[in-house]
Amino acid sequence: MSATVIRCDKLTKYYGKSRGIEDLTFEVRPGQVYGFLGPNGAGKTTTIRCLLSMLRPTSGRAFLFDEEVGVDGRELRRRIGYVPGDVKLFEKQTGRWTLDYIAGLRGGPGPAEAEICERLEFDPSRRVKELSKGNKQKLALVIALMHEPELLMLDEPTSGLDPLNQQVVFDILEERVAEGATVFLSSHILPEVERVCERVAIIRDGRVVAEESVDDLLSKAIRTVHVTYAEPVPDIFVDGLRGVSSVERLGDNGLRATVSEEIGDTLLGILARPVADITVEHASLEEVFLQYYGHGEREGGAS
Amino acid sequence: MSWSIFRSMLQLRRTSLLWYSFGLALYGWFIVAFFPLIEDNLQYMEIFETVFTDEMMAIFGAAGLNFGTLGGFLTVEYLGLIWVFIVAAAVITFAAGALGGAVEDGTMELTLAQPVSRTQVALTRYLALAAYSGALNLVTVATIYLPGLLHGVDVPLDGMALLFAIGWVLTMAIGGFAYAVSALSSGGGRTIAVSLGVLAAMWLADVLGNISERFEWLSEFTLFNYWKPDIVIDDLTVAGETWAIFGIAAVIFFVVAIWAFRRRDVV
Repeated sequence: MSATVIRCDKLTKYYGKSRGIEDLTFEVRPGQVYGFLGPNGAGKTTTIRCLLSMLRPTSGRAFLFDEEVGVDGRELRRRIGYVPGDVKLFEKQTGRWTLDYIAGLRGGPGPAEAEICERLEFDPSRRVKELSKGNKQKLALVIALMHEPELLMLDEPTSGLDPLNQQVVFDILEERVAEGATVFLSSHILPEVERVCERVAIIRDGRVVAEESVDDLLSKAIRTVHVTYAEPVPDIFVDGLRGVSSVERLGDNGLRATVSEEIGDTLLGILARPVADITVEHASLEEVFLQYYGHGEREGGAS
Repeated sequence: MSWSIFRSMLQLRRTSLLWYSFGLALYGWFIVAFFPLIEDNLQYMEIFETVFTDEMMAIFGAAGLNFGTLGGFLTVEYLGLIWVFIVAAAVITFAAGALGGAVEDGTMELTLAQPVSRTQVALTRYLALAAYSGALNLVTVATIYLPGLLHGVDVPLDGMALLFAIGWVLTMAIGGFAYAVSALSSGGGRTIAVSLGVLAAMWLADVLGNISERFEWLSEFTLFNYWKPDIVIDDLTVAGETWAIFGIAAVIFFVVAIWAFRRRDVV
C-alpha cells in the first residue's frame, strides 16, 4: 500500500508570466477525505491538472501513489476517477455513448455504472446537448465513480445538483471512503467540506496558507462567546478581558466577545464575575475560510 | 493504438464523411458523364482553349494539359484543383478537431483523464485521420470508375488504383500538416485557418510559378507542382519524387504532431 496517495513537493506552475500555483507542498494519505479550498483563481484546478499530467509543472514534483507523475501516467490514471470543475462532454453524443467510450478506454464497463445511474436518477439514453447542467454533472460523476477507483479527484462535484442529489453524492463518497478510497475534494460548499473532510488545505494566490485537520483548524479559529452576567458589569472589567479580538457590550449585563486564541484563559477572565448564562459558538469552516480571504479578493488569476 | 478512440473518432465524423462523399460522388459522376461529349467535340475544345490566356489556364491548373484525354480532362475540371481543396477541407477539419479542437471543447481533458497515454491518443487519432482520408480517396476513384462503366468511358482500373494510392498520400501530407498545427494549438479554428491559408498560398505560388519564368522556382515548394493526376490516369505512372515528397511530408508532420502533443499543456 502507498504511504501517500497524493504528494506535491514545491509544485509550481506558471502560465507564461502569470502565476498558477507556487511552491505547493502537501500530502494526502490513503483513506483520507482531503478538502482543497480556495476561491476562483486560487490555483485549485491548476493543481489537479498537474496531478493528472494535463499540465507540465514549471518546477517541483507531484506524486500519485508514491510514483512521480510523468506526462504519460496512464497506469496511475487507471486508479483515479476525476470530475472536472467545468464539465465538458461530447455534446452530440448520448450519455450511453459517452459511458461506452470511457468503458472502452478503461478496458471494460464500470461495475458500479448501473448503481450510480440509478442512485443519481440519471438517464444515459439522452443526447448530452439536451441535458441540463445538473444532468451533465451527474454524467461526469458516473464516469468518475463507475470503475470504483482508489482515488477520486473531484473539482466541485456537486455543482449544478439539487440538494437531494448533493446528499446522494456525499453518501456515495462516504461509502467509498469506508471501502478504502481516498477523496481529494475541491469545493465551494464549505458546510459539506466540513462534514466529509478530515483534513483541508486552504490555497490563496497559488500558495497553501493553511493545511491541517478540520478539527485543528476549527479549534484555532475564532469563537464567539455570548455572556449574560447576573448583575451589571463595569466597562473597566470588559476592557480588561484578555485574549479577545473584539468585544461588544449588550446592555449593562451582557457582552459578545470574539476569541481567536486559546479560549481557556479568556473564559477564566469572563467567569471572574457571576454569570447568568453563557454560550460559546464555534466558527464554521466557512468563517475560517473567510478569515483567510477578504470578500474583495475572491476573483481573478488562474483557475 | 486504442480501438475505442479510433472508433469514436470515425463515429464523430461520420456525418461529415457522408456529406463530403456525397459531394465528391456527385461531382465525379457529373464530370465523367460529361467526358464523352468533350471527347466527341475536341475541335471546339481547341477553340475554347484559345479563348483563355496562359494566366487563366494556369489559375485553373490547366497549363499544358490536354482536354482530350481522360486524365487531362479530369485534372482540369476536377482533380487538379477543386478536388484538392474539397478533400483538403475535409482532412484539415478532421485534423483540427482531433487535437486542438478537442482541447478547446474540453473533450481532450475527458479522454486524458482516463488510462490512455498522449502518444496513444495522438497516434490513434492520426490513424483515424488516415482511415477517413482513405475513405474519401476510395469514394473519389469509385465515383470516377463506376460512372465510367455506365457512360462508356474507358477508365483504367490500374490508373484508379494508382490514383487512389497517391491521392491518399497527398491528402495525408495535407492532413498531416494540419494535424501538426492542431497538436500545437488550443483551437480548431486556428488550425483550419493556418492550414487552408498555407494551401492557398501554395496554390498562388504554383500559379505564379506557371505564369512567370522569374517565379518558376516558387512551384518547387508547392504540393501542386508534384500532383499530376493526368499523368497518373493517362500514363499510369507516378514520379518517385512525388511519392517521396508527399510521403516524407506525411511522416514528418506526424512525428512533429506526436512530439508536440506529448510536450504541450492540455488547457
